[in-house]
Amino acid sequence: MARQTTPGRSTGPKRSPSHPPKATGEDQHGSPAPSPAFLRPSHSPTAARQRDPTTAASQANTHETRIRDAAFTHDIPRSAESPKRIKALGLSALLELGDVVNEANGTRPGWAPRELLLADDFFLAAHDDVTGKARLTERAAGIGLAASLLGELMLFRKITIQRAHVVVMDRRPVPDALVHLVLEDVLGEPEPRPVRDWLRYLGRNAYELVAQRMVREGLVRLAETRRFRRSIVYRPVDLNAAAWPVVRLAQKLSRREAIVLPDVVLAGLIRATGLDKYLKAEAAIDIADYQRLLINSLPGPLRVLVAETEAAIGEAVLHHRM
Amino acid sequence: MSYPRTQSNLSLALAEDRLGIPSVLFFVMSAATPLTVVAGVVTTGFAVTGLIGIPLAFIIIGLVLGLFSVGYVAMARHVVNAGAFYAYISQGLSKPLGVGGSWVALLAYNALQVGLYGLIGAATQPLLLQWFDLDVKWWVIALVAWAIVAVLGLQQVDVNSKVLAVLLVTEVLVILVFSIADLGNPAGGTITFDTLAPGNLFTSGIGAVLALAVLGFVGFESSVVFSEEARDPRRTVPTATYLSVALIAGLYALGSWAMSVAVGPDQIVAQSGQQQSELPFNLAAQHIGTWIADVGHALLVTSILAAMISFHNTTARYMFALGRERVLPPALGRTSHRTGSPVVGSMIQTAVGLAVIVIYAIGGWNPVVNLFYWGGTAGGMGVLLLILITSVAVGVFFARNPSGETTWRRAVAPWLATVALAIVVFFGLRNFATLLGVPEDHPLRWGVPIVYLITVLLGIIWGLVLRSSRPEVYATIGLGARSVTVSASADTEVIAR
Repeated sequence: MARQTTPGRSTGPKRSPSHPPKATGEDQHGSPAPSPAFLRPSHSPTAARQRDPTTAASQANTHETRIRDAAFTHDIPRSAESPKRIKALGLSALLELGDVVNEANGTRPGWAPRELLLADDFFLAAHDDVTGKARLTERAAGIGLAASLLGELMLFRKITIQRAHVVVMDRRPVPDALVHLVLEDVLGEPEPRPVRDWLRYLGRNAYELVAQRMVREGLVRLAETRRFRRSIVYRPVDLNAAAWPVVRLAQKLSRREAIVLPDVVLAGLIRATGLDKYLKAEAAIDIADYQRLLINSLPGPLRVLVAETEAAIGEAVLHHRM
Repeated sequence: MSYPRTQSNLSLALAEDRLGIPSVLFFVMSAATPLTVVAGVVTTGFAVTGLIGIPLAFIIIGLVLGLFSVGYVAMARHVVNAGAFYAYISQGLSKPLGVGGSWVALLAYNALQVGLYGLIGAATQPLLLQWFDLDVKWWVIALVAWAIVAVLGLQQVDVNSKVLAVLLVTEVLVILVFSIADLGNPAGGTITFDTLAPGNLFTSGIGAVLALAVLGFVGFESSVVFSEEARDPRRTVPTATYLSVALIAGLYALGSWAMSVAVGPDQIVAQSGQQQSELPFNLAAQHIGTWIADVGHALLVTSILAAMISFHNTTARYMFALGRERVLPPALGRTSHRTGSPVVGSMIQTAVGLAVIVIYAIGGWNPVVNLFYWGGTAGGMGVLLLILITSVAVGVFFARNPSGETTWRRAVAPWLATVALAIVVFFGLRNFATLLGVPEDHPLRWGVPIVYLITVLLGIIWGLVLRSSRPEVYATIGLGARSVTVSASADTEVIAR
């Protein structure tokens, strides 16, 4: 919980993240704790990493830190639900992910935690896990993937959303080449642009870009179809891995487990693009309420990202552009 | 800092796929489906009202709607979810009234759409008889059309604007060729101007003819849907709107006038009654040859189909937008993820269509007069009422937020249009029995206006209920697909402060 140690938060609201003790979630539900192992076990345990007061203090007065602090004030899980209920549901784990995210931030290049590559998961969710057939229209997939890429940058704490505009928080490189390119795009704009413009802009070629990244990662491979005319599709390499994002989400939502931040964003984008059906199909029980609760408790900027995605899909329908 | 750039790549890239005037114009015009109006609306209108002022009425309504469009397109730049009348009403006038307006719109577009099932049955029947020697009941054809619309509605097929554009261009050509041939063969050897003479319009039934003319223009309002995606918001959409209104007015006035010239102004009512939608094709067959009549016939069928699909999708999208706002059940706001079509709204519209066809088939009523014409005129009246309320909303909106628009655009034109529209509505309601072709004591004479009134009132009540019971829904009425972002960011803004 690095955020608490960062100085200069006095302007932030006091009601903020009364970070609950880690155990809350398990206590309430008796289910196993959200496994930290899920969050890349090869890395050091959460506690030690971020308590480096010197670094924090040295940055305290830089412009960047101030922007970041301002952004952090958004980072409070807040929703129409009572804070008590959220705590009861084990959102402590949701906050905990901040540590992984911070670790990824500005550390060695080439190291991007798999959990943060939201677009890969969304891509897999948006295709049939066996045939690789698209579950969404081209346009909707583009919007969803564009949102996922912005989401990745937000999880990496490079950008945030303020008043529905994309704002840069940290211009240092991102450990993933594709996301870094998106960051370069954002940096290249003379002034902050609305999220909806970014969704449209990135949506034009997000599909190809993400697919190519996944080819490089060995998650999908190119294949040819000859149904009507020859065309190239991306087929999953490992069927289990392809089904995993949806199955994983469905399981966690069914068991009402605590869910890490990127997965909540993924759940939000799945709902926003209308892929819900596949999530529900994998779930053991009705998950809609829990899903909504989690999405509503996302930090402000991420919640806005999900809402903007839903709006972009809706507008594409209303503007005859689907 | 490392990128001292003043030019925005994003703007440049997005500008590339923005729409120009031709795209918007084609979209609006193809939804207007001219042949359906000239062959269906005009002939039935002559026959039912017994009045011959229709050609002039198209010109007058064109002028009134052009005036209305000035404020309408100007306000489109300042509101969210432009393209739906109720969005204007909600954001300009009042949210509860907006809900009422949205329900009226649903009802009106619905009536327009299901009415077309009657026309397509009647228009295809003679074709099948002539070409294949098949005598098919109108409702069998209507059911086939219904199935096509149901499937295409779920596939969101209207995106295929190229097909529509080709159809539109051929329809316009056919109308022009028909009209030239009509004018070249005037009844009695001289070209008459009776149907364009004000004296024949300003009679006791003027309201009926004017309201009928409005029906021909329905669809022009959709141009503003593209105000956010137009290449130049200040020019593209306004120009496309004025052009489409002018083209529609000119084409329909010409087509209906030419027909009256060929038949003779004194005969047009009787002949329209006898031949119904066959009239323009029979004339063309006489003047040019049967082949062109056949081409026109086939185009009429595709034109009606295109109109049905267009209205079907309009209604489905209305329900979709209202579902997204949660003014209607949120399930309506879902899309088919595979095709992106507003699936629930589409299916409801399909169900309504089936019910109406079945009821008319069992009841044995006339598909052209009792289904197409009544549905069309009742729907057209609803749209006319919406245009009037929207015009008031435009005036009020700009009175509250001048938004940097000129006095002409924000005050003079909207209020002049409001007065003109109010006159049209007044006479339209007064002559509503003439419009429908029923006696004054017929239940539909007051039934239709009363149904609209009740719908508005129910909508207002529902809006007020939302205000007290679900303020978060009330706050986003009229915002369409964007309503979700308002609720999401409202929370964030509080934190940011």
